[in-house]
Amino acid sequence: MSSIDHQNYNYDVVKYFSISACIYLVLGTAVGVWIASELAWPFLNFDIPYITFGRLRPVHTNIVVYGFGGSVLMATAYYVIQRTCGVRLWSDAMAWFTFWGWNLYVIGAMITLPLGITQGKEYAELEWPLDILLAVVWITYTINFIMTLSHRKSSHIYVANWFFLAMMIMFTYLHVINSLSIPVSMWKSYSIFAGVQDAMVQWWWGHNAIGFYLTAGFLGIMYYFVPKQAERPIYSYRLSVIHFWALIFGYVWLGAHHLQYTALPDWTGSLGAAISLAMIIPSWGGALNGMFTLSGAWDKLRTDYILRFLIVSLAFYAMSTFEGPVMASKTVNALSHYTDWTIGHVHSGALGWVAMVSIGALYHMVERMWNTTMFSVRLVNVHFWLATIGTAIYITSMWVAGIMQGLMWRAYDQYGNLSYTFVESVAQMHPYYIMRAMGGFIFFCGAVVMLFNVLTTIYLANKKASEAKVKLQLG
Amino acid sequence: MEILLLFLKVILSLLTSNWLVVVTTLIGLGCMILIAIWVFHPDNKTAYDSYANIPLEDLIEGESQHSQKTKPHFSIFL
Repeated sequence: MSSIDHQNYNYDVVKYFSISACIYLVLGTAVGVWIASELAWPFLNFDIPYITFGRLRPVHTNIVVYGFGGSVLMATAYYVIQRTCGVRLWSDAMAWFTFWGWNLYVIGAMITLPLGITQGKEYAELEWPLDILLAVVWITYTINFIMTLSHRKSSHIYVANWFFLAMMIMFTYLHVINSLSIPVSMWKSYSIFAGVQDAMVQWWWGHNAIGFYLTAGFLGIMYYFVPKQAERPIYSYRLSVIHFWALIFGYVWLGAHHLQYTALPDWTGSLGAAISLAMIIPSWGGALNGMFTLSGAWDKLRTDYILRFLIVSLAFYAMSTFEGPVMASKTVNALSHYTDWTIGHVHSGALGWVAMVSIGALYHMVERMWNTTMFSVRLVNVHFWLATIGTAIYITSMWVAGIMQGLMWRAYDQYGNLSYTFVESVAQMHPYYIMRAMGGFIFFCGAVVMLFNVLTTIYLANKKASEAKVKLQLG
Repeated sequence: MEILLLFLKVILSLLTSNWLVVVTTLIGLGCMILIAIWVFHPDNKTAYDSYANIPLEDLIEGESQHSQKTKPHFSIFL
């Protein structure tokens, strides 16, 4: 495949998605730090309804999940499919439509959610016009990917593309079903599901969005970028195939573990817990497969800061895929549910796994697409440590806070009365909320460093390219 | 070993909580076993090993595999 002409690939759309991902990372983490600070110091909402925690929290999740995560997924899928199949994207027009449509969706979220326009469904808050936009853009992205795949020059479909494709198909299915609603006005609709069915559909969507969008898609990234950056083939390709199918078979069953001790039939919660525990095996298999790729070459981590992001992300992936099943089991869930432990768990996956593997992939792609090296490799290292330390502070503070909350809520005295009022548990959270805001702020600083480094790299690369062009023209 | 047995006991007791779960689990496990037999069959080893090289072979002309060049140095972290 080395004879493929560089110009045959559509890198422009990948470049735009990569830059927008860096911008959304800064924006999303900035909003996150702000709302974390609001929890520590509630006066920070200044009694302005548009910036209260309840309205800004979904703004934060939508920017990081769809703005940052979605841009990374589209950039990497378009990049990987072209390189591993040896063909240009099937349709440039469709690719550009996905870029502008996706950004329109995220901007729509940033406008409507502070105004209080919401369906109140977690990770699916946006109202029906934006839901339809998301579905159209996503299906366009999927069709373009499948058609590119069908025109590939190689006979085999590399495993990363399997993960990307599974994500695309499942996300379409999940989003469309979960968003089924009856519009009553331009910006108001009601879900067609009600009561316990609504809860079940919500968490069928909610956990599978994590399983397929935030896990399968990013595993696709891992299976391409870890071997590429390490300059070694994946430790076991055959294990990656087993990893893929085990994940696909297992993940769809997990949603009910979000609804333990609720009106849902007991066996559905047990099923969610059982499959969650079983999922440790493929998840760890995948994480170890990525890590063992470095067997005999661990010294690369001394000098290759991009590889550090990729490998540490796998450590966080292994950690959070162990923690999740533990929290899903009924005994632990009785303590952990509704507490900040869940927030800590989510962020060990989101910051440690999803963001770090994305950051590694983005640095890798920037160097290749602009045919240059990073403006400052030292700043990549600074970013790595800011991201790692920020994540560690964030999740440890939430673990301690969550376990303390759970223990305070269940404590009772010798007469059977609750030992603590709810507000006493809130007061105890104050130092941990400050610590969490600090951890988030450190992570945010890393994102700013990345944006600066990436933009400067691009500026210098473009300058160099235009100077070379002028020299060539002058003869 | 004890913890492994405990883990298996927990999984088994939860998986047998409803007949639908038992049936679906058996179908899922059956498919997984078939896939594992196919993938790990000795005849397929060479083919799968070659697929692992796809990302390493996708270099574009003039592109180095690893462009980030840093000097090896002592670090307290690694």
